[in-house]
This record gives sequence, C-alpha cells and structure tokens, in this order.
Amino acid sequence: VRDLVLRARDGDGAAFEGIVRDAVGRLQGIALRILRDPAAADDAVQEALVRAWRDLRALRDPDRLDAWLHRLVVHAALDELRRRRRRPMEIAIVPLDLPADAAVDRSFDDRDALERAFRHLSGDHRVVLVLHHYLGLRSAEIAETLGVATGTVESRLHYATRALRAALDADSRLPLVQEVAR
Amino acid sequence: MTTVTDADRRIRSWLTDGPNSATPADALIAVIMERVHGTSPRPLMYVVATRPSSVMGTRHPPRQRRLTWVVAAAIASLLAVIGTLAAGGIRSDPLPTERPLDRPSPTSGLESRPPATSPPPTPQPAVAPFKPHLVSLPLLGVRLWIHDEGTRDPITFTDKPTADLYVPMAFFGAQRVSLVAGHAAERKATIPLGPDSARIDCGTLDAMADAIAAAFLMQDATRSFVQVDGITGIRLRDAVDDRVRNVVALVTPTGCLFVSSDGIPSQNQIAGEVFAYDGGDAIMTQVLEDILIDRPAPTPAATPPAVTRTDLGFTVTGPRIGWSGTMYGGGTGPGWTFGFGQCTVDLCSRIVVIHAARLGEPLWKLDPLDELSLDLLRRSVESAIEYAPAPTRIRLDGVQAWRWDGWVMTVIAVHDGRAYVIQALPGFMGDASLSDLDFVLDGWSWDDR
Repeated sequence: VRDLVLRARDGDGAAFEGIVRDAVGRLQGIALRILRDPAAADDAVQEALVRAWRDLRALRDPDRLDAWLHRLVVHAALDELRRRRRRPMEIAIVPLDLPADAAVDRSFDDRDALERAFRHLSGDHRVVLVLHHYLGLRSAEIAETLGVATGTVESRLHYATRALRAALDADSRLPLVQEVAR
Repeated sequence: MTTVTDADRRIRSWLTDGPNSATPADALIAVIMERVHGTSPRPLMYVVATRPSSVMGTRHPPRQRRLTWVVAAAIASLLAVIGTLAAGGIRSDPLPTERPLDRPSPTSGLESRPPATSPPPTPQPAVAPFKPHLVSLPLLGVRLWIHDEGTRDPITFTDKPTADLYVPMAFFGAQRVSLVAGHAAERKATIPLGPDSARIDCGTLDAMADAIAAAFLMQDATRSFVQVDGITGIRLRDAVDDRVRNVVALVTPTGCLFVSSDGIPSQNQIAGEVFAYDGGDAIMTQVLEDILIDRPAPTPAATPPAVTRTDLGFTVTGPRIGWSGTMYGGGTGPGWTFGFGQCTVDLCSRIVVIHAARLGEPLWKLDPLDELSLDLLRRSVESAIEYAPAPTRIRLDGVQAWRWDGWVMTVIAVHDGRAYVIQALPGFMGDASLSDLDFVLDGWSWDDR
C-alpha cells in the first residue's frame, strides 16, 4: 500500500486505482452505515475518493492511508447527510436479497427499532457508533480520525448508545401494549 | 428490560451485518477513476493551505499546525502584494476578457496591447462534472410506514388497518425506476420479500400510489415533493375544486410515465393512467413543468406512431416489424375482465423472461427509451409477474403485461408521442422466436377476449 501511495502521489492513476479497489468496500460500509441509504453512501464514497486523489500529496505518512480515508469518507458522509436533510423526507431503502430464514424475521423488530432510532441521531453520533462498532476502533483512535478530543468521542458514544438502547427497550414493550389493546 | 450488554450486542450486530452497498464496487470504481482521469493530485502547498485538516500523520498538534499554515499563507499573500507592486502596481482596468473586442482598450493610449492578441484563457482545472454513479443496481426495496392520519407516529400495528407497505423497486439508473409492490397483511410478512412471503394483492400502480401517498401523510404542506430516485410524488391542491391531489410519476430521462392517485390515500383510490386521466391536464402540465425542469425535450420519433385514445385506453398503430396486427393496451373499461379465470402461477417453475435484447426490436425508433430503459421495464414486469400469485394482468401505467398459461405478453407504450412495444414470450417454453410472438399476437387479439 505504501508503494501505491507513493506512486499515486506522483500522478500514477493505476496505483490510485489499486488504492481505491482496496478501500472502496470498507468505505462503502462506513458510509452506508452512517447514511442508511446506499445511493447516498455511494455518493459519499465517490466524493471522498476523488478528494483523496486530489489531496493525496497532503498525506505525509503513507502508512496512515486508511485513517485518512476514513476521515475523508466520514466528512463526505456528513456533508451528504446535511444535503439529504433538506429533502422532504427520508425513506428507508432496504435490500431485497435478504436471506429467507427465521432469524431474519426474529431480528426484524430489532433492526427496525434501531433503524428508526439511528435516524434520529445527529451525524456526529452516527459516526462514532459506526467507527466504534463497525470498524472496531477505540475511542482514542476515533478521536484521532475525527480530530476531536477523546472525551468528546466517549460522550458521543455514550449518548448515541443510550438512544439506541432506549429504542430497543421501547420496541420490546410493544407486544405488551398489543395484549392490553385486545 | 433489555440489558446493557444484550443491547450492545444487538446494536453491534445491526451495525455490522448486512451488505456494504447495493452498487457493485466495479461500477463505483469505474466512475471514480473516470472522474480522476487526466488529473493529478494537487500541489502540496495549495492543498495544505486550503485544507489544513486533511493533513494526517504529522507530528504537530492540530492547533500548532493550523497556526503554521496561517502564518505561511499570510507571508505568501504579503509576497504576492509586494511582487504586484514591484511589477507596476495594481491595475484598475478590466481584464481583457471582460472588454468587448470591438472597442478600444481604455488603456490603449498607454500601452500597445492589441485586442486580437489577448492572452489565451487560463486552462481550468480538469475537474470532471458530477455524474450519477448508478450504473446498474440490483433490486432495492423501499419500505414505507403508513402513518396514522393526524399524527406523525407510525402505526404500531395495534392500530387498524395493518398498513405496512412494502415497495420493492428495481432501480436501473439514477432516474429510472420500475417497481412492483405489495401490501403485507402482517408486519412479519414484509421482510424478507421473496416468492414465499410476498403477495401482491393489488396492482403495481395502486401500491406505488399508496406508497407515495403514505409519504405525503407525513407532511403538512399542501404541496410538496417526495422523491425516491426516479419516483416523484407531488402533492398539489387543485385550484379549481380545492381538492388535494397526489400525483405520482415515474420519471425517465427524457419523459415521464405518469400515474396519479387522487383522493384520500388510505382509500386506495386510483384515478387512472394518464391516458385516461380526466380533468387532470392542468395538474399534469404542472407536474411536467416541475419535474422535467432542466431535462432535455424528448426527441421526436422518426416515425411517430398514432396514439388514439379509446374507451378502453389507447390504441397504438404504426409500422409493423416482424408481426402483423394491431396492438392494444390500456385502461379498464366498464365490465371488462380478462377471460383467463384464475391463472395459477407455479412458483417453482416460474420462468418469465422477456428477451428484450433479442426480440425487443422497437417498432419505432425511440432514442430516449434505450436498451437500459427497456431492460428496466422488462424487469419491472418480470418482477411483478414473479411475485404475483395470480396476476393475469400487471399494470404499470404504459406497461401492460398479461400472463396466460405460461405466456406473457408485454406491451410497453409511452404516451409522449412515441410508443414502444416489446413482445410476449412463452416463459415455460424456454426460448422464443418471432413466430411464437406472431402466435401470441395473432391468436390472442383483443376481440377474442
């Protein structure tokens, strides 16, 4: 990767394509989980990687490529999120090719509750959740990626997780409500 | 009560499971590389001066780094000013490109600079314009919650009716959409949507209109937009009768296939197709103006077909290629039913294939409705038939499809002065030929029904 970065810095498009191929899946995953919309996520990844190409010479340490790309895609996703908020509404887009097994049905309630709660989170809170759970980064690593203090990350993580837990709790109480209604 | 660790496990599972994207990585990579093609990374000084936050891996703390570049930028600015002054001061005359060529320069008496030899324009940075990156997407789904009227909270399934609506859509390009849809009686039935769990108990048109109408329920404005890629929903208040009308449109790159929903969304009322749309011309015009803004005007067909409205919808006639007869399609007339009875679809052996590339020869040249659009429409019909237990007819505005004992006839017609027809295929017979098509079309005419 280091060699690819060094070559790409000098304008080697093929080297940059190698970088893109290596990173695009992971970046799509991050953006998709922040934005919850595949099209928006792809837009963000596209913008992030084009920006990466243009600003590649700003990356002084080629070994930090991944962290740098993570930062770029997070910022692109947040930009996209701000843009999308101007739309009249958000509509969940879920893949159709889900496995047809009982586990999917069982987890559907969870996913639905989490999805709705997640959509109420701010972009900053979404980002720390995704970086923590999806990428498995520690607070200090997230802080470095985002350029904020570690305490800020932990605070965001705390509040975001609490919101999602509350959503799960509320959803788990739903069957009781149904029983009462009957 | 959910325990903390259990909740964390479920949150982590939800965030980590699932696909990364519906877009094939190769398609995205191709677009990215196209955008960077012919350009080079920016010089370091420029990048850093404008984007200090993008520096990674330096040993300076952020604040110190930022200060360093602020000082550097200030020094650079100062040097630039000094250089300008040394070169003769700051010019106050307009730039050569701002001066009409047929007028002498206001400074022509002071320096000899013929207008004809103005400096060549500064090359612009090669930044590729943004392009929609969706090349071909697999099936996606849009799930909408119908909201209870008067509130903004989703129905929690303790309310009636159970109105979870699942609208799977096939995207095929950023502005092109086809879809099938279905009502699910129970929440659990909404996902996964597969041949075993999905039931379409209404037409594509109705469900799509419901979906958009449901989206409108979440909005207060009397006129608003809902857009999901190619689907545009527009809510208008009719100036004539002061009724709120929900209009749903399928947008193609150069035109629209319209449907409209009129009335209270939960009543599932469908006014009809644009072909049979009564009294909606003004609305449709407005819709056209609204959603076709900045879109290129449709190119007239080389041989425009005649599109004639009839009581039953529309009749398309035109040059005949490969078969004879007149195509019919269109709306529903009073008392009109198909004579096929219950058509059982064997889900195990369902093979509904429309070879658009092979047999979808256009009757008329349709530049905008290219192969991609055709494939989109094919997928739409295919999906609808696939998921419908007894469809007998799938309707998607100008798209008409019939399934009859293993035969599928599909007629696609576009109302904007052009028409397009793809043919029926014998799905269970594997392959098809034009003679098969002739059989279908000749042996199964409108009158026979």
